[in-house]
Formats: sequence, C-alpha cells, structure tokens
Amino acid sequence: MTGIFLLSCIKQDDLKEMPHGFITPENAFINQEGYESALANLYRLSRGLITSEAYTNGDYAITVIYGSGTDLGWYNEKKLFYGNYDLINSTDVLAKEYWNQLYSIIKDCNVIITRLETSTLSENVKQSIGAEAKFFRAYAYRFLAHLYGDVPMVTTEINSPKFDYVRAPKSEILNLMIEDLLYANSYLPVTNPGNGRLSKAAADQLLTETYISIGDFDKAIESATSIINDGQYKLMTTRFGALSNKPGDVFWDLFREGNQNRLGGNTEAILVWQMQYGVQGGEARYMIERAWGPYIEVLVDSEKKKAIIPADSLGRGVGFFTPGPYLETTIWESDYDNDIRNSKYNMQRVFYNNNPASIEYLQPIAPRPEWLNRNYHVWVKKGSCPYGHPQGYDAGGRLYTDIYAMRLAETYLLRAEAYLGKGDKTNAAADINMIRERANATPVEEAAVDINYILDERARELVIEEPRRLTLSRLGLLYERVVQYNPISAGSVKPFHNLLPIPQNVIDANSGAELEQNPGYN
Amino acid sequence: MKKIKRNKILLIMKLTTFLLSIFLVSTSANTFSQKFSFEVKDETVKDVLSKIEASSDYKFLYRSDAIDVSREITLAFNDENIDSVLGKIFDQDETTYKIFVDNLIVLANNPLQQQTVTGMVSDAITGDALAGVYVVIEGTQTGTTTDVNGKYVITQPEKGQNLVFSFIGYLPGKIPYTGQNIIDMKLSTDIKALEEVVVVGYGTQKKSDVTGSIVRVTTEETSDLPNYNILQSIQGKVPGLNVTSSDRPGEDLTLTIRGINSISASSSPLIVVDGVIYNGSLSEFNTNDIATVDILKDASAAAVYGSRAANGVLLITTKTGTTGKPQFNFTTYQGIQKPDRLIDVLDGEGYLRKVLDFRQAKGLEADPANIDNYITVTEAENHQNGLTTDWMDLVTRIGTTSNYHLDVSSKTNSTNYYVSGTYFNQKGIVINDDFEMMSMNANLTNNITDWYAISIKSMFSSRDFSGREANYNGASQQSPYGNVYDENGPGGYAFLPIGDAIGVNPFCPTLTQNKDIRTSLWGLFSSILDVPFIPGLKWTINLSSNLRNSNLNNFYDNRSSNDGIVNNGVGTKEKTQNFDWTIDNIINYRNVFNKVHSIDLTLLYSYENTSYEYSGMTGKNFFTQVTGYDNLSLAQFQQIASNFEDQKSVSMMGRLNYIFNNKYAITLTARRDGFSGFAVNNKYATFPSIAIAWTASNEKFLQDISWLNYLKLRLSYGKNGNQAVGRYQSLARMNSNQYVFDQTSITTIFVNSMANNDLTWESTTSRNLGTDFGIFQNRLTGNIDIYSSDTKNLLLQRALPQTSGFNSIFMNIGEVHNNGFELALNSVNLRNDGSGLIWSSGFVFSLNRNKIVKLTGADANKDGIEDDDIINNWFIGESINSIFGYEVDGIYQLNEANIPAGFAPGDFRLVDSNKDGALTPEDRVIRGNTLPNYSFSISNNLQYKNFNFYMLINSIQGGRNNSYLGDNTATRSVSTGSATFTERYNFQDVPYWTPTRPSNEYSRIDAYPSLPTRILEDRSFIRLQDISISYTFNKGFFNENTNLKVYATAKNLYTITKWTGYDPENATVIRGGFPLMKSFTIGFDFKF
Repeated sequence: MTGIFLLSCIKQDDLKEMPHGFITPENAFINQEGYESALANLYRLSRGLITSEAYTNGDYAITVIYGSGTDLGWYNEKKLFYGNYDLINSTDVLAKEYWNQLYSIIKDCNVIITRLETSTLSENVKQSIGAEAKFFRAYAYRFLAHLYGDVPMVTTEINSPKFDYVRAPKSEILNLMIEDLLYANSYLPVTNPGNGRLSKAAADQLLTETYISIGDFDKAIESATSIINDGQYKLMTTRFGALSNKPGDVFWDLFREGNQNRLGGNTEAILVWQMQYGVQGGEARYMIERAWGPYIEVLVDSEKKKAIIPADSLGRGVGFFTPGPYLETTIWESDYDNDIRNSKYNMQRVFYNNNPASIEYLQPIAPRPEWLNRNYHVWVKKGSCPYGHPQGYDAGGRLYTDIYAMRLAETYLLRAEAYLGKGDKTNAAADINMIRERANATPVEEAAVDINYILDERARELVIEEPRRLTLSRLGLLYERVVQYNPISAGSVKPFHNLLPIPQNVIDANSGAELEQNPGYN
Repeated sequence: MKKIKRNKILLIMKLTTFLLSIFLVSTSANTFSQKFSFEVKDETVKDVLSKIEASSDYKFLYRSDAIDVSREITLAFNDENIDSVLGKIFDQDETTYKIFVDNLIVLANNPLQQQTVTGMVSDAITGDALAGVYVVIEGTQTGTTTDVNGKYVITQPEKGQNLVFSFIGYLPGKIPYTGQNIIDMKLSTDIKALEEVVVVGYGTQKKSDVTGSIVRVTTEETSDLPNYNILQSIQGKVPGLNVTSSDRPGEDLTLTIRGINSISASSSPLIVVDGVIYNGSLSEFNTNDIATVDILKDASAAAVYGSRAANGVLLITTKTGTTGKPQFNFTTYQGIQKPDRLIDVLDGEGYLRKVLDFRQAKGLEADPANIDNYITVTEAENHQNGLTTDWMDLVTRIGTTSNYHLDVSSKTNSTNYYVSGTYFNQKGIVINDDFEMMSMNANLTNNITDWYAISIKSMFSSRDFSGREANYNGASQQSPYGNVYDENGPGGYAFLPIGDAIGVNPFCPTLTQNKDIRTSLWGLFSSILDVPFIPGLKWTINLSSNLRNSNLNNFYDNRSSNDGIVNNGVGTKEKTQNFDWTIDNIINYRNVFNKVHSIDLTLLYSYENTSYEYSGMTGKNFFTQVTGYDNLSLAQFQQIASNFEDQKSVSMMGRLNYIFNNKYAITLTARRDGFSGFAVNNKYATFPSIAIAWTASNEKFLQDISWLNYLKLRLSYGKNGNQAVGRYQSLARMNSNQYVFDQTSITTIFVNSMANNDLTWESTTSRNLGTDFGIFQNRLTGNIDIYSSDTKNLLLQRALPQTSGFNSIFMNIGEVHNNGFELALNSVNLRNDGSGLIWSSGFVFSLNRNKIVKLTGADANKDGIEDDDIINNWFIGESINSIFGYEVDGIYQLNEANIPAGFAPGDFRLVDSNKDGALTPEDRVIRGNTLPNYSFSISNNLQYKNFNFYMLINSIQGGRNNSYLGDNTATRSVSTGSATFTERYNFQDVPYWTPTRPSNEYSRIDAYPSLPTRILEDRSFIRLQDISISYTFNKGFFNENTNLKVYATAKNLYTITKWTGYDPENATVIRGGFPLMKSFTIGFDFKF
C-alpha cells in the first residue's frame, strides 16, 4: 500500500508528451524518405484538383473548371455549376474549395522547400527534391493567378497563425512561377520515367504557358521547342494499347485504360496523374463519366419499356454537364466526317437499345425532346470505359483511368499560341497542323489562324483534358466566348466573371488586413 | 400506575436530539463509562433508581405496576458500571432492562410481556433500523424510544388509541392499536430532509454543513420509469441541468450544467462514480444499480476536481447493502414505444402533383395526361396498376422495451454486499434497430477490524448495437410508386425501388452484416483505514481501473449497398480499447473541539493514466461473399490502420471545512493539476476556491419564529479549469495518405495542424450566492441560487485564412460570461395522517445567459472596436449560440417588383437590413439564439394508502427567435453545394409555393437559394414527460418479508409546441432527424 503511494508520487514529473500514433514534422523530415513521402503527397493533391478527393464536392471541378458555364456547355439546370452567373457570389462553393486545395498544395511545397534549406541531405538530393516541390508550387499558383487574378504570395513555411495576407499582383505571381519552373527545369530528370513522375518536359510545358502570359513569346517558343525536339516525345499516329484490336482509332486509343502512361507505349504523354483500381493510393473520385456522360438510363422505347439496362460497358453518366451547340456541332463543321476526334468512337451521338425484352432491341433509340437536356446528347468518350470498368458497373460513374495533366498535343498548341503572339502565323499554322494531320482533319490555312481558332482547336483536341475555364480566364476571353457560344449563360455573364470571387470565409478570417474582393462580386 | 412526567419526556427528547447530533459528528461517545460507588441499606428500589438518576446521566423508564419498585434492598457498589449495578438490584426478580444510546434505561418485567407492545421502526426506503425514534401513545404521556436496532417496547395502549412515531428528519407516523402484539413502523424521510448526507467529492458531508451548491437526486422516485440511462432519471429534477434526450435505442444522452462555458471544449460535466473519476459513458451503468446522484454546481463545490470541474461534476453512488437479512429484489418491466409524431410525406397523388409542379417550374411539358412519361418505367407500371407503397409505415413498427433486474444485498457489522445482474432489451421503432444490454454489479465491503476495511466495487456491462436498421430517412424519400420486393433482389428486396440509383431500398441496410458490441469493465479497490489512537483520522486509497472495448464489424456484400456493389464486397473490422487507471490517496481528518469547533480536512494526491488504442482492417473486393468480415484476408484490396494515444494527469488537492457552533461555516479548497496534453511551459495550474455559509436558523433570535425551520445562506467564489482540448493538440501533427506511381503504391505525408506552444487551460471563475430554507415545519423547503461565471483563456479553434493551408488552429483566446438563476421548491401540499394521503410537489426553474466578452482582439478596420468573428458566428456582446445570417421575410411573389438578381418568385425574400438597396454580406444580422430563455419543470407525487402517483411536466421556453433552424424547405440549401434532387425524391407533404398556390412560408419546389437561408422556428414546449402509478401490496400479502409493487408508466405522453420538427427539446428537424418516442410500460418490483 505504501509502495503504491510512493510509486504514484514518483510518477509526478512524468507529464512529457510523446506522440505514438502519428508523426510530426520534427521526426518526419529527417531523411530523404521523409521528403519523398511529402513529395508524393503533392502528386495526390494535384490529382485532387480534378478528382476532388481532397475536398467535398466531388462533381464540381470536373464540371465547372472543365466546362460548365464556359463556351463548351452548361449544367442541365442552369442554376447550378455556373449555368447562371447571377448566382455566383463570394460564398460560392467551388471558388472556396479550389482556393483551399491550391493553398494546401502551396503550404506543403513550402514546408518541403523551407526545411530543405537547413537539411543535411546531400546537395544533389536537395536539388532534385526542391525541383519537384517548386514545380508543384508553380503548378498551384498557375491556377490561382489565372482563376483569381492577384492573390497572396506565400513562399515559406508558416509556423504561427497569420491573419494579414494581402494580394500580390498577378505579375509577381507569374514571375515567381517562372523562377520556380526554371529551377525545376534545371534539376528534374530529363528522361521521363513514364510512371507519372515529373521530368524536365513538364516544367518546360508550364514555362511555355507562363511565358505566354507575361508576353515573352520567344522564351515560350524556346521551352516548347525543347520538348518537341527532345526526341522522347512524338504524337501517336498508329493504333496501340490493350484495345487496339477493337473498332476505333488512334485518338480513341489514347484514352483507354492503361494507355496513358509511357510505360504502355505512349510517346505523347508528358505528365499523367496516376490511378489504379484496387491499389491503395490509386483510387480517387474521378467522376468524369458521371458528370459528362448523358443520363441514358431513363431512355425508353416506343412502348415506354426500358431501352437501357444498366451495364458495365455503358457505365453510368448522369449528365451534369450538357454540351452546347459549340461542342456538339460548331467546332466540327469543317471536318465533321473525317476528323477522327469527331468519330463515333470519340463523340457518341446515337444510343442503342440494349434491352432484350424490348421490341427495338439493338436498334437506335429515337430521341425525344425532353431528353435533349440531359439524357440524349453527345458523349465525349474520352471519359468512359466502353469495354468495361475494372470495378464493374458503378452507379457512381467513376473511372480509374490515368489522367493526362500534360500531353504533347498541347505543347504544339501552346507553341502555336506563342508564334501567333509574335505574329508568326506560318509557324502557328504549322504547329496546329501537326495535330490536325494526326486527326485526319484538313490543314488550317495560315490566314485562318487566330486566338479563337486556337481555342477551337484546343476544344477539339483537349476537351475534358484542359481546364477550359482556366484557359479562357488566362486569355481573358471567358466573357466573350460565353456570350458567343453559350446561350444559357450568355444572359447573366459579365466581364468581371473572368475571375472567380475571393472566398468570403478567407476574407472574413483575414482579420489583420483587408483582403480585397475581385471587382463585381459581393 | 406511574405516569412519566411530561417534563421528563421533553428532557428525553432534547437529550436524544443532542446526543444524536453529536453521534453523527463523533462516533467515539461512550455511554458506559460512568462508574458507581455507593451503599444502600433497606432502601426501596425506587429510591435507589432515583439516586442513580441524580448522580448520573441515566434516566429510567418503567411501569410501577409491572416492576416491584417498593421492594427494599441492601447492597454495596464499588466502582461498578451500570450493568453490574442493575444486575445486583434485580438479581432476584424477573425484571430485565435495556440501556439505550441516549442513556435511557427501560425496565420491564418478562412475565408481563403480553401487556406490552413491541416492534421495530425502520426507514421506509432503505429499511435501515432507526434508533432513537420517539414512540408515544397518542393523548397520553406514555412514551419510549427505540434502541440501536430500532426495537422498542411500550406499555400496551387501550384499543382505539394510536401509537405515534416521531423522529428528526422523518415524517411522523401513526398506527391505531387494535390488539396486536407487534407493531412495526416504517418512517419516510421528510422530503428534503436537511440532515441527509451528501457526497461532496473525496468524501461525504452532512447537507447542513455544505457550503457550496450541491443537489442530491435519489433514484427512488423514478425507479418505475423505463430509464436505461441515469440522465433520464434526473432530467427535470435539478435546476440548471439540461439533458437532451435520446430517441434511438442505446444512444447516449448529453448533459450540461449551468449553461455553456466553453466554445470548443466539451460542456459535459465530469462524471465520478463511487468517488473516482470515470471517463466512459454514463449509459454503461445500469440505472437499477445507482442509488444517488449528487451534482456539484458551483465553483466551490466542484473545486475538488480542479481542472476538470468547469462544467460541474456528477457524482454517482452505486447501491450497497442496507439490511441485516439478505434481501433479494427482482424487478422487471415491459414497455412499448411509438413515435410522438411521424413525418407526413407526399402520398401517390401528391407525388404525381409534385412531378408536374416541378416540370412546370422548369418550363418543361407538364401534361397530367402524360404523367407516365415523366416518371420512371417502374413508377409508371405501378401507377397504371394503382399500386402505391407507404414506405414510412413499412420501415417502422411498435417499439418494445424489456428489463429484468435481480439483486441481492445485505449489511452486517463486518460485511456489506450488493450483487446484481440486469438484462435490458429494446427494439426501436425502425425495423432492425435493436439494442441489448447486460450488466453486472458487485460491491463488497469488509470490515477486517474495527479500524480497517477493504472494499471492492465492480461493474461489467456489455452493450450490443448489432444489426443495421432500415434507412428511416431514406424511406421518407422513396417514391410511393416504387417496388419494395423483388424475388431476385438481395434478400428479396428490390435494390432500386424505382430503378433510380439515388434511392437504394431502405430495407437493404438491414442486409448488412453488422456486429457492434461495446463492453466496459470497471473496478474500484479501496483500502479504508480509520487510524487507531487518533480519532477522526482516516486514510483511504482508491485504485480504480476501467477497460472499455468496442468491436465494430461490418460487411457490405456485393448486392445490398452501393459501396458493396462498386467494390465487390467491403468488410471492416475495428477494435477500440480505452484503458484508464487512477490512484487516489485521500487523508481525511474530522473532529469536534470544545463542542463548537468542527473541522473536516481532506488531502488528496491523485494520478491518472488514460490510454486509447485502435486497430482497424478493411478488405474490399471478395471473390466470395460467404466469409464476410470474418476473413478479410480473402479480400483483394486490404488496408490496415492503427493508433495509440495516452495521457497522464497528476493532482493534489486540499480542502478544509470549518464550522463554528453549527452556524458559521467556511470551506477552503485548492487543487493543483498537471496534464500531459498541454504545452511544455503550461503543464501545471492551481485552482483555488472559498465558500462561506451561515445557518441563520440556528441563531437564537430566529428560533422563536415558529414557521421558520431552516435557513442557510451560502456564498462561494472560485476558479475551475477545463482541459478543453485533448492530448497532442499543442504539437504540429502530420497525416498520411497514399498515391500510386504506375501500379506501385507510395505513402504520402503532409502537415495537417500547426503547433501551438502556448496552449493552456481554460479557467472559469465563478461566484454563487444561494440559500436553502425550510418553512412551515419543513413542509415547504427549497433553494435559490444566483451565479455568474467568467471563462478566460478560452480555447478556440480560430479560423485561419485558408491561405495558410490550414483552416484553423486552437488558441487560448477569448472570454465568455455566464450568469443565471435557479430555483427549486419542494412542498408537502397535503398530509392527512388519518387517511394516509400525502401530496407533495416539486418545482424547478432555471435560466442562463451567456455572452462573448472577448475574442481575438483583432481590429482590422482600426475603428477601436474589437472585431467579431463572422466566420465562426462569434460576436462580442452576443451569445455563443447566436444565429447569424440573412433575415427571411416571407417569399417573393409573382407580381412583386424589385426581385434582386439571382432570385425568382417563390424564393425566400431576404431582408436588405442595411437598406442599401442590394443584398450583400453586410445584410447578415443576428437573428436569435438557439438556447432557450428559461426552463422549468413541475413534479407531483400523490400517495394514498398503497397507491402512489407521480408525474413530471417539463418545459423550455424561448423568446422571439429563440429557436432552432428548421430545414423545413422541400429543397436543399445552397450551403451543401449539392445538386437538388427534388425531382427524384419524395419529401415532406408541405404546401410549397407554386404560381397557382402562393405561400409565404414554403419556397418554390425548385428553389435553389443563391444565399444561405435558414427558417427559424420557436422551440418552446411544455411536455408531460413522465407519469407513473404504482400499487404496493401490504406486507402481509405474502409473508412478512416480502414486498410487492406493481406499476404502470407513460413517458413523453403529450407535448405542446409550435415546433414543426420532431422534437423541440433536441431541436431535431424532419429531414435527417428522428422522432421523439412515447412509451408505455408496466412492471413490478418484488422484494423477498
């Protein structure tokens, strides 16, 4: 009894807190493995800008950043997903979640970059880790600068609460990006490992876009050219990959599961976000099929019997995004039948009855007017798994296909944009025609090349690969293009909508200094 | 016949009173210490007895017709005690004698026994023998008192005369004499008897000596009610206590005492069981095993628990043996439950109208003749065949409750034990919503010697939540034209009742294999040493340990849930273990000096260690579904997770209670606490308190006021703490995840919280002024308390601009003020001893206000006024529970001018409160408060002969806008950011706005507000919460030792409210909420 008493007295000073079930920065950033794990997280968060695993609204980014409310189309009910710009204000969910996600990436980059400075790792290890971290910091600022304009510039690890952020001019942000990307360019590996990890070309690609934004077209051309002339990167021109024996074409092959990585024979890929069904870290909520696929499950035959039986090969679209006439027909008019990007494999416009119990089994389903908004519109088959999903039929409409972040086709289009900026339409047309040639489309005339043509070509080549809203905002053309091509949103969009609102909760929490809102928003 | 003189009776009574009160304080009084040395020669016995009376404290009581006192004797005594003296005096005859604690000696003559009445007086509730009860034949001066065993002997009364029993702290009792030889009496405690002993933390005190605000609740009154959680039993009983009720089987309840002192930290009080801190849930204890609950409300009372006590303390005392003879007690009840109110969803006709209205609102074709084109194929088929389904009816049933409890207990000089087992079973109103609890209790105390005892108290409970219930809310959203059954579907159910993937059959969750068992094993081992040779010094060691385990297994097979289908089966196995142990060393010294200085000193040293361990396994993609969660290694995709956390606390406490002359009392308490969870420089803190009390009614000048029986004034001041944030919060933490390169998985890590090296305790300083009183022969007793408290160093999860990459951090900022008023009254309204009718009532009232005094101190706009924290809804000078947002003023109508951009007719009309002509964030205002203005309850107890009737009315009252946000719109709110599924869901039958059916209350069917809109409702209510009626059979009904009581009860019988949701008390809304339950129970208690 006395023993117990003494024992408990001795324990008195034992109040030191030892972490058991978690790690802290102090015990994680002590070796190269710690830094590598932190780097891998940057890939995860950047993939999350599309797959939205890191924030709550799974369908938003893939719908709004990639198309809804732009020239490409809208949400079937215009009140959501930027269909009606009157509804966009400072409490907008997307503007808030994207901001959060982007600054989380920047925070994690800064932790690595700041801690590297005092790290005892060897110089070349520090350089290669720093190169990756700086690439991702630039990648995050790219979205912030183009989507929000002037934004706070954070370049070091934040260790204590800070409430006095102010907006830095966009030009300063762009210069920081160039600085980071030049560093990345110097220390990233030249040889693309082909498994989704960064290489020098990724830095060059983002440099090209950033140089264009600051008007330095020569440097933009130089960095794009270094990718094109590198030798590792070639457009795919012949059928390849797992489903190359199925009906289709090479453009269709580019987007089939397993074909995105260079390890699968793809010479066009520069940077690919990785997915793998059934492997930890390989699953994320990539809901392109759900958001962009038409909601065909409700289609019926002439006897009002079900025309569609849910099937693995069909997947499950729910038609959040409704392609507008621009994507449906306008951009294809000149080469409707010969451009393989508009083939029935890549742009499906007819749906077939698959119900054996229906009298119209296997016949095309006759569209009805009430379906056109959501249930019967063109399906961009890039975002599909026509020969089955690895998980089988999935009511969630998820894909586990690797996702292109950067592809050589865009390098040509970016260089064309730079040539055009310099007034060199000859070379601009030549670059565009590299792509059109592969697509079996008529080459463009030099005279026809302008920024709108490049945007059209980007839509044909890069739909649901490029963040269309970012591209239009980057060029300051969102308002004009929406007015011209999006009849649903044209009435409400204003020039100030070229930028997203600064999230109200960020403004509210920034109590030490005034963080100004973008003009036009309340 | 010799009569005892009246003044002698008074003397005896006074003597008894005095001795008893001393006895309670000091157990060392010796009644047998007097010695006699004298001689008598030819004196009568009567004279000898008188001589003894004159020279000592002894008084004799006898009947001169029974004892021959005129007999002359000659004897010599030399330093002999009273036993020896009496033995010699009555050496030759049949006279026997009995010496009582109050030095009263009763003489009796055995052959005349039939001329006396004997019996035993005991406590009606505990069955304890009562010593010193005065027994008198009504209308005469013949009387006696009971001995230590509660036994008495009294001269036989005449038939028709009454025996009257009276005792301090008890209601008097009366029994008519009809010729019986034995008359036993059970006395009931005077309601709120002021001499009761309460638990004060690390010890007990007489209620009259208490200086702080402490309330005791015994479970006796509510033992008939089907309360599986002790909090249900104290709901509405104590002012300042707020219990939110539970609607689902087995669910925990929450309790707050005196409002909310903290924003981020828990507002739950500290739970102490049999003297040691308990970290588990109260629902792990069975109500049947709990004897009393003491609630420490003010700073002084709670100060013994220092850093943990800011939210008050709940002291649970489990039952122990009370009777010498082993007593068995079997009790059982059976009950049924039904919802107070069920959601009313659109029926078939309403559903079709909704489809048309929705299409019309969207500008689509809406021709009633083509309705089948607008609904799914399945719906159209059922519509054509005239088949509808009432889903709500299908997923609900009559709920049932059963409880079986058996205990055996006994108390002897050396041993006290109580052993019990309880089985409780509840089937909720939703199909498959089942709960089962088994618990066992064993308490044993053994007095090894007069001065040393050991005690073991233990409890084991197992709560079984297994089985997934049907999806109640899903049912409310199902189309009335859906299919429930499909013989090819999982378990015979149609997986998608209308073929729409959004609405999985609400019955499918019941097909989940689910095992959810939570156990708790608690033990308290005590060593209690009454230090010999130093009267009043006691050393207690309490060693307590508590092991709580939770096993949660789930298997979603590949047919019955979306998750299971997508992943081809998902199994999880999660084990959580909490292990706590505590050592308390308590030294207590209490003594009375010079009869007026009463001292009670307690010293404590305590060490607590708490640990938490988790392991979880997940498997996905099973080629076979037959093994479920029992063989996760069959899964293609396997994932593991684990965690371990621990924390330590060290505490020292001292408390001194000094009372002068039973009038003036002072309590000084200080506790020093150390906690591992705080930052390095802030590991320790000290919490002092002081309280004074004045028992005014013991003053001479008040003793003449005949109607005033008791009056005490109390004043306390002290500081308590709140550990607030848990362990590790001061450290920067990293989290992990995974990414994949090609097909190779890689672990990813990231910083997810910022370090704060300054984290410390929240400290609450509070003041309490109170009074306890008893008037009109204590027929009206009560207490009133006024308090205020200031919480500083408030731990706030302060929102950071997300620009940092973090959204918040814990900081010690801010200050909150609370004040309140509490009143409790108990009255015996009617007491008719002749008919045995007793009607007593209780009234409890409390109100509390909280206010934010200080936040971060930021002043961004440099106007000299500290900024509010809009993002968190914190406003200086306003309540923590303020509701902030746009005021709603009806609905925009069709012909209305000036509808702002982004709004349309049928949307909620938001108020441009700053009148600048535009709706901007500046228009947001404080719209009210979620907390009630005040709450009260009224209880009534009516006892008539063998019947007892009890009822409790409970109420909270909110003022204007003092209400909760009711999500009573048909559509979804903008804040969720999700799509609206009005067109695919069924919903509550409300008269939503349409162009042809304008409403000013419910928005249009396709509303999608661009700014967040909350509809507020008043949550005031008055509820008939408990009713119970019981009948206790006469003791002789079976045999002398049995006692049978049968009873029937009803709970939540009727509620008056304007609240349109399910339950105004919990503020549960219709969508996503769950209804309040009405229950009806019958049961019996059988003691033998």
